[in-house]
Amino acid sequence: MADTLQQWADYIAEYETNMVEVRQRTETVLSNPQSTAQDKQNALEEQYRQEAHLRELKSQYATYSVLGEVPATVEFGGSSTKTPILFYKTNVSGDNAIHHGTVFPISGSGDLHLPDSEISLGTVFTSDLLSFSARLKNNGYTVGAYSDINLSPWREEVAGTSITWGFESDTAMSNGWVSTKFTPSGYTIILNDVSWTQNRTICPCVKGAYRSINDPITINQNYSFAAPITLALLSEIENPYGEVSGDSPWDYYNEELLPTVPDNPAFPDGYHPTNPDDPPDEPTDIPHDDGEPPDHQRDRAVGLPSQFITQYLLSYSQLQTFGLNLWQSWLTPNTDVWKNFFLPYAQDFGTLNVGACLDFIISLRVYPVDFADYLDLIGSSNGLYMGTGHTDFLGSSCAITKKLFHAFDCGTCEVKPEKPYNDYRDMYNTSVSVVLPYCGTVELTPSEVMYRNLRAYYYVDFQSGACTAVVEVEGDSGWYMVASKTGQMGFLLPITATNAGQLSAQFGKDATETLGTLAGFFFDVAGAIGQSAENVASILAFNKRQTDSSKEKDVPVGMTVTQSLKIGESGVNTGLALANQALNRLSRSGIDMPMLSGGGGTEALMFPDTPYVQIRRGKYAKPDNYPHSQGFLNGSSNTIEYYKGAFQGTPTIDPSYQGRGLCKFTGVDSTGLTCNNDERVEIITLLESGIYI
Amino acid sequence: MTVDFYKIADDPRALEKTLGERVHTCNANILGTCSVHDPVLVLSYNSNLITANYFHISDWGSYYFMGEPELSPGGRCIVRGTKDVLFSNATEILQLKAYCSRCESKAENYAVDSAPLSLVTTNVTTKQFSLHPFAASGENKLMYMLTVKGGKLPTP
Repeated sequence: MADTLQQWADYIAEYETNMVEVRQRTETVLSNPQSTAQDKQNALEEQYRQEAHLRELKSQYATYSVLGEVPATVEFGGSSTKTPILFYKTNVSGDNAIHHGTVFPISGSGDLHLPDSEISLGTVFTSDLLSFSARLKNNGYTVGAYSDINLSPWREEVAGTSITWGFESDTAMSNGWVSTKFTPSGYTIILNDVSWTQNRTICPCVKGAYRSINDPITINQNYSFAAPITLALLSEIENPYGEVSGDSPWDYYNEELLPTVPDNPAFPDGYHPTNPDDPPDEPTDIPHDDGEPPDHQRDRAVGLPSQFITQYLLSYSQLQTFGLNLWQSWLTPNTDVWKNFFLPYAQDFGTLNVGACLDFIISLRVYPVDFADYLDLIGSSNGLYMGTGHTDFLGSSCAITKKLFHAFDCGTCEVKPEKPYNDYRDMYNTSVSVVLPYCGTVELTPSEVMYRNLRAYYYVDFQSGACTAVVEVEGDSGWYMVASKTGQMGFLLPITATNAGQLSAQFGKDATETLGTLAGFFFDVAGAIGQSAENVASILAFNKRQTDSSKEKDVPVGMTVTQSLKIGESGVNTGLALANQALNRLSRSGIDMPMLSGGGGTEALMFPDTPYVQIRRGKYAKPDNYPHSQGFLNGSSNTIEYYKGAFQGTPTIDPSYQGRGLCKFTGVDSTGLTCNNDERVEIITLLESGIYI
Repeated sequence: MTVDFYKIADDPRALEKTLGERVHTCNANILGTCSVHDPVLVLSYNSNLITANYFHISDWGSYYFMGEPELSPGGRCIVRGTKDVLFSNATEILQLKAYCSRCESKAENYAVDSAPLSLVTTNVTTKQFSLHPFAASGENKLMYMLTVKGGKLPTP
């Protein structure tokens, strides 16, 4: 709410300026043959909303201008000066009584008349004039009060020094009386544009008076008023009754014939007709504005970490540590992990099963970007737990993600390229696509997104590595989705028992052999860090048990041990290099690399890491003499003279050019032609085939 | 009746012709029976008639395109004309109301007119989104996420 009346006035003035553009825009849409019915309806609705808001502003301003400060006194001007007069209202406590007179001049060269002492100057009283009448003295001024509206009198009679203003039907007027029924409360009485050409006599009422007092006062031309006289709204007030003749709405009201206007969404505070004979400007069938679609639940916490599933965010060094410890510690007899994690979980009906332990690992995924800063993390000092077992694989410090699912905001993008032609060619044969990293490319509808704003979000599921990109456009009533595409952002490192099975299938070997291979790989790492012969022997014993239990093929542990011994003290890095070789082999063999989803495959890694929009537009050439030989498309209707003239800029290629422009017409209305009919037909044919004017 | 002859350079489709200098004026008679729209006039030969291509019959208030004059014995010349209904009714035509499908001076810029276009090339414009969450730099620009069954949350 504006702080001062001036701010109100400024705001309303600015709004009215804007309304001119709004109305022009509507006019343009309505007159454009290319506009769809929906376009026209949208334009009309927008204008109606703005108009309704402007009326509301003016109404509020009128109220505040009365309630607000009184910045100045206003003097009646000289002759023929039109000066508005503000009549303040009254309270009524008895039949046919006016309690307080109007607030009238406080100073002047003549009599000084103040309202009753109960009224402070500048105070607005709410009226309660239900079923009461009020009258000022004969030959004086008549005032009335009306509900909902501030209005001018619909009748003005001047006889000598007397002016009578009528507010209701003729039957309600009687010798200067006015009935003030239907005035519930809270309304000001405003008379505007009073022609003050001479000194007038006026009779203010006093409290409790049945009629006005008998002492008229004379309002001279130099009187000042306590109230703000210049109300901006006054010039806007229209007589809702139209001209003098005709019934007033109050007559209908008395007969209970006043029509009920259904609720209109454009007027949330209700709609109050001012005249049943004057239908409202706004259509009553404006559809509801559904507004912005429901918001995406971008902050929804999906899959909060729990004892069922936990997700650790590893740095590269932590990954190295994890790999090393994974293959070393739990297979090292008598270590804590061996006793607390491996032995309990690897027991499988009396045998040790490495896969049972590996199954605790759901996935280890690599993401080609590091957006750790965007994630909501919990610092953990408890180390890495699998199941309920403490593995000690990550030392004592690791980070747990709060959410297994996260939304990434990619911001907005203005699809507002330059307009090289400033005509239809700016969007002719245009295609718009949005390139979504890890997902692919989506074609958008140009008419839907051109010269508007887009915004994009990514929803990433860290467990599966899948991502979904969502693109929204800012429409007239809010953002709505125009495209979504699913892709793969995280890819799997094959370290689980499932991968072991896949590896076996890939190489045509059984699972046991594969496990043995993996075990050998484990020993490689163990050997790399200088494992003792005793431990190696223990591992060999373990592998022997595995071999015995399989009863099928020999496990190539010998090769593995040899290899591990060869590695000797070559260090951890060599072991990791072997691990990398294994991973690379898996990658090359195409095992469990779910990266194919419409451009979201491994090739998507080569995509830029930021979504962007591509706009493809044609660059066109026009023949120089095109406007003069063919003419531009027009599509409007007017007099033929209106289209007179040539295109500025076209080189003169025709000696008969002489500033004339080509025009072609259809639907010629030949009214006004006085020639004979044959000539009329000939003229119309010529107009349709094209003439130079 | 008096006939004024002109030599004009206007396109016949021009609503209003530029008459320029009058090349000849003479009295003429109608040859036989003819229409007002396509009159055949007989008049005395004058060499200026050879250069004329347009004439005006003030008695009829009409303008005519002139055909090739025919010379006949006795120094007479036969001139055939076709009424220029546009210029003859120009004032009234300008006030007619019509739907303008094509116009040289006033264009509806966003009405698609594919007739005159010839595609020269295709321009591609790219616009990036304002935020770049996936461009964050990190250790090796990679991130590793380990998901396990079970687990233990930090003690609050």
